Amino acid sequence: MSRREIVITGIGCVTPLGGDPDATWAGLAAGRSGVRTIEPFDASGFPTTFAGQIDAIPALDGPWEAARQRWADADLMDRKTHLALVAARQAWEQAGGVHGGLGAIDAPSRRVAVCLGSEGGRRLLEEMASRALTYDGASLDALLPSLPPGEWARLRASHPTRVLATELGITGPTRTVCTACTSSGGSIAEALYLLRRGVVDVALAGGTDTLVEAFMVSGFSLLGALSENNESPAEASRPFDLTRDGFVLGEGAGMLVLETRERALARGARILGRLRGAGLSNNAFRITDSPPDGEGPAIAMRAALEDAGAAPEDVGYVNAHGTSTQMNDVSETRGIRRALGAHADRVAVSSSKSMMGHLVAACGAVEAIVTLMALRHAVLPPTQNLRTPDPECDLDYVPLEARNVRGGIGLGLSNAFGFGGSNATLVLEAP
Amino acid sequence: MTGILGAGLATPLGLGRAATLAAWDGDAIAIAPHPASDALPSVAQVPGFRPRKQLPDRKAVKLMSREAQLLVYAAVEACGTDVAERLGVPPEQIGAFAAAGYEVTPLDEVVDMFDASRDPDAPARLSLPRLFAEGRHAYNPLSPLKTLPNMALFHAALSLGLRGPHLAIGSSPAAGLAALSGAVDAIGDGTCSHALVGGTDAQTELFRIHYLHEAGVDAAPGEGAAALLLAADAPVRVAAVGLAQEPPAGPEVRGDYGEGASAALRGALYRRLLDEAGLDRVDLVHGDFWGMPTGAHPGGANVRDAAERSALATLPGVVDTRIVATRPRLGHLGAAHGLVDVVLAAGAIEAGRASSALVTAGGSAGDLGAVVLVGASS
Repeated sequence: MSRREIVITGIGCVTPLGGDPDATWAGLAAGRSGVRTIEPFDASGFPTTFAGQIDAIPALDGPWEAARQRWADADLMDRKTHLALVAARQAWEQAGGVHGGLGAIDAPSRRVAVCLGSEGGRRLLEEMASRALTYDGASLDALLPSLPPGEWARLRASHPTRVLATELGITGPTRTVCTACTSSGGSIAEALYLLRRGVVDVALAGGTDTLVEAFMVSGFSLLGALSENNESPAEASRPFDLTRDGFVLGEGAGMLVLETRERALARGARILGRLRGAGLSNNAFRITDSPPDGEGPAIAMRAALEDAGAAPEDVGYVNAHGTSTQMNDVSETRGIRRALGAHADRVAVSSSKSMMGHLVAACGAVEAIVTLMALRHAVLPPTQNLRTPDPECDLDYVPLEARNVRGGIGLGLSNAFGFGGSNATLVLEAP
Repeated sequence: MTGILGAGLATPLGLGRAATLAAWDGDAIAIAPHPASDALPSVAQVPGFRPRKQLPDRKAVKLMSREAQLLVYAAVEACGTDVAERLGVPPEQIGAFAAAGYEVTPLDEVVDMFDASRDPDAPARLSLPRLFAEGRHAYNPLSPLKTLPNMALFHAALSLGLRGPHLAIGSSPAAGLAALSGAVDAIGDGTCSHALVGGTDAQTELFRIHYLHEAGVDAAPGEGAAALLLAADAPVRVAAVGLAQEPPAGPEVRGDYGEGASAALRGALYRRLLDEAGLDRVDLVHGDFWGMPTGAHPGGANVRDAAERSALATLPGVVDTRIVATRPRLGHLGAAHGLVDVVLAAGAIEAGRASSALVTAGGSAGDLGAVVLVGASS
């Protein structure tokens, strides 16, 4: 039996570079940065004072805004869920869906899946401090007044999944993948597998995250993982550059509507691209460190190519995880070499995080959309701020300026690697 | 057909699979007063667990949350630390799929940091400059990493040296069955030849107790972990596994109370799985019963348990089926619950007390999972 071919019929995203895929792509292609001094709270006392921020979440309207307001009135609409709703609406409507139902997508709701990458809710630093400073060790009485109603529901990683299933009218399988920076790469892979196996006909897959919050910035600062280039925020994220000094936190959401090619063609849907394959692996190495030999990421890339039925020579572009940390960028470079062999020297590699920062649970989905846009436009987005080559990072990283490609790029790989050693690679193709 | 080659448990009924199964078969109840204070609700804690002595890497224990410690224990029991070598397969051919409860940053890990960061002019307030000048020295910078939901799975994969497909799926009782579903599919696809599947949770921390209390969950907050080693052929087989989402329910519906639970959707899923398994009935059901008190919520009643009862009542031959609920005896084990039920049900099949079983689990976000197990001779 031939394997079901999976296509993309809707995309949506909200990122530090723009409120939808076109705006985000325009920013990336122009080499613009969405990283700036933190505004939502006073970060002046922090070692890192900047992040990839979304200045204004695009406004919803009609039933979508009514839905947002209904959840907000119940104190159940946090920022990451809000971002997810906006991105999902874009993807859903582009595919033909409507609020509360399938619309032109025309599938039974139980045959539609929601697969979302999401971490647990982000806590507020001041709230945690307030609780800690009044904590007496073993009493609910001191704690209860400081805990806002609904907090537990908002903190659950699966909360945005529930909201999207509710607002899109979906009763099929739901999966909330929580593998840190690999979450939405993993959620898209899960959606691909559910579709291929015939468990569902359509899937909404993606991820959402918000890290521009004092508790997260302080936590990652304490870990020593963030760039501290406070003088030049836009130049702070420098993947593959010799002077890179850590990653930049960001926020955003990305969503894709996936379905079988057969049904997309039958209903006359516009096919934006193909999701050819996916590969997942674990480093089994250390909590935060990438393996120096890059073998864990290479396992994911090889598995993805095998899953896609493709060879290294079919790949023209790798949208790298490219965090701008010393360890990741060397490990990923070596992983690409191990997976692609001699062809690695003929592949373009770039990091969107150089301009958006690290969207953590959302990065896999947003960067899959970026990869798709690159393939569709036949334009390789640049790695911004790469001015001083690192001898340990010896691939073509498309430094500083986007590059047009004549005759098409071929296959695109989108990499996501996470704390805890998880790796995900997606294989995409223009329609 | 994919089946269960090994299983491990760390539950309030006992440390280890054999101890838990013996206590379960002996009708033991694991719920006891909270050890820290009479003012807190009774809890269900794993007895005799000494992570530094009982886990393979004692140095790594301090980097693990309680959930991670419990999962590593169960995973080692299910697989052994030399699993790849013993099975004769490359480590990248063994996947790892797990559900882990959301580990709230324990207050006692941040109290010292915040205490050293008090604003000198207003001691009840936090001073950010002091946080980075003084407070940071009173804090383990790796502590936040314990709270990431994939860390329990990472520690398990690291302990066993697994490098195959790796997914941490959600944090609800149904998420364990979602992890099981993902693993069964991955083996079926040939993505990996074997898989560790785990579920773990620790709900006896103060925040978690409060949240369960706020949600009106009547079952005692508990902790535990379950792990399975899946392979293409094994004594107890996974005949069918499926997931669904309870019908759309807006913010007015408190998922905690199961108000979105649908007997029709549940019944349809369970009957479909029995069909897929080629069974006209099952001997045993471990049902999704939470023991929510009727009327606990202003607008609510025990909708979830009622929906589950109604759904199970539609199964063919149900009058001869033994239906059990584990929460009254083990407490509420959160993300571990679904898989603990799977290991208990598999134990009944292995012991010859049942030839088939249905295990169901629902989450408070409306996610629902179910699995049908059969003996190899069925």
